[in-house]
Amino acid sequence: MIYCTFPALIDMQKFLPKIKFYFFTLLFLLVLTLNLSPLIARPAFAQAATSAAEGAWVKDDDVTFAGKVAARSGQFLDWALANYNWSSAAGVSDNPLASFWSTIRNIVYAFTTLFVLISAFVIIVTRGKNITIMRFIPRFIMIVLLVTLSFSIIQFIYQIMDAIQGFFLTNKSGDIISQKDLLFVGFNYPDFQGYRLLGGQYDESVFVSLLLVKLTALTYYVMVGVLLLRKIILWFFIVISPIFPLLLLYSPIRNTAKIWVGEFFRWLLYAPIFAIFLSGLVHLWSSNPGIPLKFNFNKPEEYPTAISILLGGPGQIVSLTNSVNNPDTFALYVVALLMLWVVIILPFLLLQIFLDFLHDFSFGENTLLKQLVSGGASLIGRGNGGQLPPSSSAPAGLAKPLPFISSKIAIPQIRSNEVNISTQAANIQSASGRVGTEVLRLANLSVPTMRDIARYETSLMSSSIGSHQELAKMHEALEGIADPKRVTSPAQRQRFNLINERLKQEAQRGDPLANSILSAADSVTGKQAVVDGGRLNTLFNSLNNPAAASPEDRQKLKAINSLLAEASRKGDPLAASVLSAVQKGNAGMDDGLKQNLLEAKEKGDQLAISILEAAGSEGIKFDAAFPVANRVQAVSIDDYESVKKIWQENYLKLDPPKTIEGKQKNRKEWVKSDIEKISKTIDLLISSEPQNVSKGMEEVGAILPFLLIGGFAQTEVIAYLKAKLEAAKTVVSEMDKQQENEDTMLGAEKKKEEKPKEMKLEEQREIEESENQLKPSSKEDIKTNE
Amino acid sequence: MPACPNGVATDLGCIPSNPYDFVSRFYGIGLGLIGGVALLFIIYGGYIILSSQGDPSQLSKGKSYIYYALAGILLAVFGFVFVRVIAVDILHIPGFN
Repeated sequence: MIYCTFPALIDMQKFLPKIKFYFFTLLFLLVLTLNLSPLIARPAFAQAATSAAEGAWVKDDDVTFAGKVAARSGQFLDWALANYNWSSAAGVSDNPLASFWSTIRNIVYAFTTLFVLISAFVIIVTRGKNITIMRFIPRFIMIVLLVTLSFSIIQFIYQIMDAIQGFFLTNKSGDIISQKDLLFVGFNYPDFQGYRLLGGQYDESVFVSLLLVKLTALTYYVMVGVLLLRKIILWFFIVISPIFPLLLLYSPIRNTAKIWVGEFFRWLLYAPIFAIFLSGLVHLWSSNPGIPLKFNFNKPEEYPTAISILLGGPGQIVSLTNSVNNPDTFALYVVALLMLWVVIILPFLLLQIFLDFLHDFSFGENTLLKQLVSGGASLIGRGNGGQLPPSSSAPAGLAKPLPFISSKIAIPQIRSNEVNISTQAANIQSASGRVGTEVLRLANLSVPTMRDIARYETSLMSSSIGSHQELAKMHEALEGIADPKRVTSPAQRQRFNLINERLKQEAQRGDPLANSILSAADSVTGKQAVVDGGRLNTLFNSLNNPAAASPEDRQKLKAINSLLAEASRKGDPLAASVLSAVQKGNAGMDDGLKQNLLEAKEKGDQLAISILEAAGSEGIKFDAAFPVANRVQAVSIDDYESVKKIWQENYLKLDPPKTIEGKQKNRKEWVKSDIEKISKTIDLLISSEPQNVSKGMEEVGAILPFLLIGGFAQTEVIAYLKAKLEAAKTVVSEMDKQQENEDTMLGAEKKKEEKPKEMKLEEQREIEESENQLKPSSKEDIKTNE
Repeated sequence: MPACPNGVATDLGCIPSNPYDFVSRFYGIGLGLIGGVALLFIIYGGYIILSSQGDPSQLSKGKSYIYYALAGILLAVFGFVFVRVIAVDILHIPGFN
């Protein structure tokens, strides 16, 4: 029956990710198997028992069997704990693994020549873009050295882990922990003979006692099994260690290396963590109060002692009347057993977290590995490695207005900063060129220029589905970056995880583009945009009861209500959920709805926009901030000019947006309201109060993520708005002129008729003026005459 | 298929099952392949130079084709020597033969 534990252990190893599940299945199966025999044996035993008196002690094979299993498992555990070192052979020379390792190493050596051949091929095909001979030589040396030293390096790691285990695998008296410190099986295997009490009333007691004995044995076997399994796995790892460097240094097979390294560390670190927990358990058990739970050992006997194996937990003095005879002592024993299981399982759980981390970890992005892969250039001193120095013209104080200068920033001011910006451009391009472009390509994003921002804003207003799709895609990518867990497809999740990890690393190293992408991603997911629930509630209440509102608001509410009804009739889920929330009143407001409204607003949904507008402009709060200076890209004056041009065209050609009531706005009205809106936003943004600035940011909420990706500084955003404002003003004045012209055309005949009158009037006016001019001069004349 | 006593008979001939012979056999195959590829690249580089009409960027592009093809071929041809020089003569790695 003992045999069945080992195949079970192998199973466990095979499906380690589901370790918890397998442990419990295993436990269940073993308990079933171990206890099947007494159940089957019972009829025979019952027959034998008829000859003996009830309540008498009789020899019992099951008890003997269970006792012997426990005795053997205890001795096995002692042996495993005493020989905790990874190998009893000390050095490389006398280790039997070393000879096989050297065979593998020699094969790898032979394959390194093929590595030379492959590299030669790559040099020819890529014309030195991927690798040159000068970069190949240090890389080759690195590989050969790692292959040669692989045994020593890994052996050293093993020995360090053994030493760490040694710290913990000792009890208070300084000896290695043995079963005496745990649940001690205190009888010898050869001369153990089991007895039990006869009679049906003792059957339950016999069953439970035997179960506990067998579970103890099982626990010990599992402990030993895992520890030995670890050792054997580590032996095989050291044998194949020469292959590791080859895997690590080639990008296409680096993922395999990741899995290998993950598995290696899982088994390597298992024993030290196990030792820590085991030692903790022993110290806890051997301390004076013992397990910190309430157990009363002196309670009256409730369950009879029915087998000749006495069971007792830590701190309990075992006797015939003080075995697992009452609920307290029974609980103590079960708690002790469970603690042993925790010692076995917990390291696996902890290491699973480590493996998950390693799974997300990207070798390609690791700085140390990057240096190794790039030929260890900087290690050897070729000198082209290392990072570029940080941009010397970092925050240059562009946005700090002096107190005595008007805080309004005019576009020409940017012109004076242009030189400064363009000197940054070289640094910016080289810094963000390396990492940024690759990440952006991965995420299907691009750094938006001022022109792009204008384009995005235009497409937000347009009714074409295609342009909305482009924006939705960008939003999706940014959402994925901000929170990869929300992405449903595993492949995409993996991709976004990678991007996120990489961006975070780069952001930590001060990469401006990475920083700007991350803040843009945050602004998209609404981590920083919050709908004010109170305001929405008030709106919903007044929607429910429009009669209570002021006449002005009533019209607005009516419009929203009709919009809602129409949208829900068309099957818009957002409208339906808003309607149900309105009907439910306060109870209907939940975070999901708020989030949906926000998202819909970002996508340009008219309904969401009007609801959030009606709820009050302070409905959304933004905590994001524009950078002090743009370190992502250089913005030139031409950009502003083209923004102006784009907006002029927009104001002239685009269809004006609809009002809440669904009517088309008058073009002039629309442009004028935009002028007002933009001036207000600019005033808010240049305000010195952070509250106002965040209000201003909320006004540009729709294009905020793109502004953040572009790394635009506050001054640049304001300049953008000013360009838009100028465009609007130009358009209005053009419209005015046009209207004037039209008016003149219409009124041409009238004017002709009125002309003589005007002439007369003008003549009169001239005469009057000349008289007025003459009067003082005549006075002067008089004066001079005097 | 011809007999292959100490290896596996494949379309590319007898591949020995001894790792060293295996590698040298593959090295031979690879060298032939690289020679062909390098020749094509040299020809293409020459063509670019011929048709460059004095354009310096085209000239340097053509030159780079030829230069890297030669460098690759040299690395491949002297690969064994290269490995030996680095591993045995410079690093003195024991057991590297």
